[in-house]
Amino acid sequence: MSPLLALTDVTVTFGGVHAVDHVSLDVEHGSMTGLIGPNGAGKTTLIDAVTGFVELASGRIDFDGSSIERLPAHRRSWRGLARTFQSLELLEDLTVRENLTVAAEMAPWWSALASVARRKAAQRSEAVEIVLASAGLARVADVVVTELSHGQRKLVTVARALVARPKLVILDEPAAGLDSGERGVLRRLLVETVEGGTTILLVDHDMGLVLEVCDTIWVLDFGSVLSAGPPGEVRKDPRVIEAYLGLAEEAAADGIEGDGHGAG
Amino acid sequence: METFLAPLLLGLGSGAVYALFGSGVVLTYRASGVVNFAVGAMAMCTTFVFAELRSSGDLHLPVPGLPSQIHLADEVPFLVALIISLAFAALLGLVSYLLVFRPLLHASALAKVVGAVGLMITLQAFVVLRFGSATLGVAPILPSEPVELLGMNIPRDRIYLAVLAVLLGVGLWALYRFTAFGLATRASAENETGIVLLGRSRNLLAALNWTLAGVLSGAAGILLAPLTLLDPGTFTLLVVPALGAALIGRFSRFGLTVAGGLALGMAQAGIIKLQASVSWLPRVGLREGIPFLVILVVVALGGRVLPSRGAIVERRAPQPPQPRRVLASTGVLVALGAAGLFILQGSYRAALIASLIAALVCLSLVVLTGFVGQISLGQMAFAGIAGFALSKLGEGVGIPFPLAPLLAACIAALAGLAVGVPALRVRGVNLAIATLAAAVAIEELVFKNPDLTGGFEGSKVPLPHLWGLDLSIGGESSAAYPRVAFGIFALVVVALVGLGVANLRRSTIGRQMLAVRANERAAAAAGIDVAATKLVAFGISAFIAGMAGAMIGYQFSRVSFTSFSVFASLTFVAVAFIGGINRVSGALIGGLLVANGLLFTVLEEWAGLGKYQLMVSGIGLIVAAALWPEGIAGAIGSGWARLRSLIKAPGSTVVEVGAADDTGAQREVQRESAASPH
Ligand SMILES: Nc1ncnc2c1ncn2[C@@H]1O[C@H](COP(=O)(O)OP(=O)(O)OP(=O)(O)O)[C@@H](O)[C@H]1O
Ligand SMILES: [Mg+2]
Repeated sequence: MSPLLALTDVTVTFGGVHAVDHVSLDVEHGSMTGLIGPNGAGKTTLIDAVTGFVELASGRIDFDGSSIERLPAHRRSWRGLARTFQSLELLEDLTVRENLTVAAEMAPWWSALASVARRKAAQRSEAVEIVLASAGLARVADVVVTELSHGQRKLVTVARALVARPKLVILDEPAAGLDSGERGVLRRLLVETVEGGTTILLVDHDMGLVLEVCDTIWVLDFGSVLSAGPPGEVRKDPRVIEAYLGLAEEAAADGIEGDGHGAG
Repeated sequence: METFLAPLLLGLGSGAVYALFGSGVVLTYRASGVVNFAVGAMAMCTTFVFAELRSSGDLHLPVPGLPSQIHLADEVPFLVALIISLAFAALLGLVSYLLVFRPLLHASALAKVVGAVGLMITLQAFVVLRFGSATLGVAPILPSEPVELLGMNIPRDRIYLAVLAVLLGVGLWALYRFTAFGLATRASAENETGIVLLGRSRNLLAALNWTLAGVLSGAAGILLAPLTLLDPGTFTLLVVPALGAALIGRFSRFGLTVAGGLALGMAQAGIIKLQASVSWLPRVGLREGIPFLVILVVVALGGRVLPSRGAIVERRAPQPPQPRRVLASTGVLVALGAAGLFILQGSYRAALIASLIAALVCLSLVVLTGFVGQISLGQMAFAGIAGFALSKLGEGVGIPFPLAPLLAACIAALAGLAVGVPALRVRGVNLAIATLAAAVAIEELVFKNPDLTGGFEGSKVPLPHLWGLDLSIGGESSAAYPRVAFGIFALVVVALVGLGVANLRRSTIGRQMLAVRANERAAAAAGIDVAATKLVAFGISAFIAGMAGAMIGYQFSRVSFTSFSVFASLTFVAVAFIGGINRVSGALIGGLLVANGLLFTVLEEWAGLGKYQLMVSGIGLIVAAALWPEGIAGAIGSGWARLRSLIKAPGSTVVEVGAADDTGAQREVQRESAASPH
């Protein structure tokens, strides 16, 4: 079976900068795939390219058997591609439940417009309530999101991405700024999601989390793929250690110093 | 070549004025990040002060507490009058900044536009109250004996004005380029924190720039006055070509702005020349169409025009609340309205009807601005399109009553979509500029074209009859005017539209609109077609405005352009915001506040205060923009909510929200989620 998401030679440029440079990358059905790399490696830009928030300079993106690089963002979302943003991008001054409801409805404008006549306003969506509960947000469901703590807002964005039961959800640093309790909620939410059949592409700087939950990890540096493979292999790859993990404490614990290994 | 170029030179005079106004707009944008829609109105005030000084020797002051006018001398020499007027202009610029724009520094783009429109209305009201709306002639200032150029006689003053504009453009460029003042302003425009490092007060800089801009536009107004006739309406709307010039200068380049202004003036002169020789061109409005065309091209096709400013924070507009107990409150209000229609007589009943129809216009703004956050400064253009369409469909084609107004509103909706498509590319203040320019163009090109609309006379609208019921306002005898039946008809329309808008807020498309308004990126990620959602809003909003236009037709039994002027659009924005732009009840309150509506009719009949409506709207709009973004309805709503929570359980809401943050709740949340079904 072909992978759920396949990038072929994808390039994104900002002015002269190649933020993503001829990247080819696969995400298998049902996997939890990690995408890591130092700051400015191009991870967010790659997500933007996949989800339709930035234009490709070249390359092709196949999702679930068809090419999507020409579709606008909302149509990719209709195909079952969901994401969160590093910069939250919540629907501020809407309540948590409203944030999720908007995403759960996933209605094209014509059917959304027709709903004016249907008058079933108060009806609550079951999907929303389930996700609210498993993201630990049931108690704050009717609170306006700006009143929440940073960690809770992060969880709202994750919940919002999950609520429409997408085929693939791409999370941009969901663990950043979470306290340890919230981190636990997130980890369990991710595991449950994959068990439920949704594929996850996880971008995060929390190496503990990524190495633990992901079955495949792609490493990006200066817009190019540096390495890829199962966590065990990637963490031992000298180029990765040099470029990225070398900064992390695992590397120090392993006694490996990044000397003499070329990064590219 | 010569015969083609020479007529263009005639446009140098007005071109120079656009250049100066445009430069003023650029100055204030760079200094404080607001687009000064009031630039024409500010110039008009100064010019009236100048004209009055010259003609009667009286100095008029719009300052409460001071005598409203001081007799200086029987004959005030030109130079003295000029200096006094420019000092007034400087003060006006400074005060505008301190009272209107400074409080809006961190407000949303919408609030900034609204505040500027408020100032525009306030100044207009001041001039009309003080000097009347009559046209004033001003004696020439610059020598105007013709000089022969390219084989044509050109009045000298046109040339002088153009040279003056160019010199000023160069001067401003040099000021911004080489002086510490200019550098600091530029730094502050790019980055608010940068200015702190430069050790200069951003406030002081902005105030200086506004003072300078005041003088500039005042001087431009005084120079322009002899070339045209000085009347409040024309002058205020000169903001449109001024914005055109500023857009050409990308709101940052003085040279380009001056060149753009001169080019606009010359293009206008050229088109007038063409109009005389090309038979198929429209007889009216082409001159006013030119700035619109330029604005449309620059704004819609040029993508992002306004350089973005590094604002530290931007306060957001409040979100529309969920309507509650919609059917019950509709029932109560309809009963109240019907009772009012039966009890009130004569002018009071007419005022209530006018308020009902005005509420429709406000409802159209609730959908567009309140729900989707898009601004339209030309809403009455849609009303007018439907009004004239109704006349053509009803009188011309003979389509019967309920169908004709509905079709007319659909035509307005199509016009709304046509405006919406280019509007997809622009946001915030650019959209405001584009809709304002479009409204001016439609008014001048279409509404004022006697061949299309009957000009001043207007065109007839058939009387509404349904199943043998006479729903017209006049009926057979004029004694019955205004008839209750028409009032009930209007009431039913408002009730239905109000219900529809409340339902819209609770429907899926309503939530999508709110999502688009809150965050377009997040909305798109959640599968919302942002462009389509905005278009739907434009269509619905224009449809509702179109219904209002048809009702206005029935109200007067005819339609004429005076009902659908740009200025009417602006005053509707004012009352809609003061009433409360984000909910249906706000629109109803807004309807009460219009000039011929219930409130000011009562004030007029009881205390002779009706003439202050425009002033109250303007000042109210400024206040609403800065302090009271949810208007009167919002204030009533939150007051009511506070009262109820006090009665029910003191402090209960506070506990609920606060608890979400502490760790006890966190544990609770985890326990709950662990038990969740899967
Ligand atoms: N809108 C933009 N315009 C210009 N350059 C950009 C833009 N967005 C990103 N870049 C550049 O592209 C490169 C990749 O940025 P990106 O945000 O994708 O990195 P990242 O891997 O997500 O980093 P981080 O871990 O800090 O989130 C960086 O050099 C960044 O400066
Ligand atoms: Mg990133």
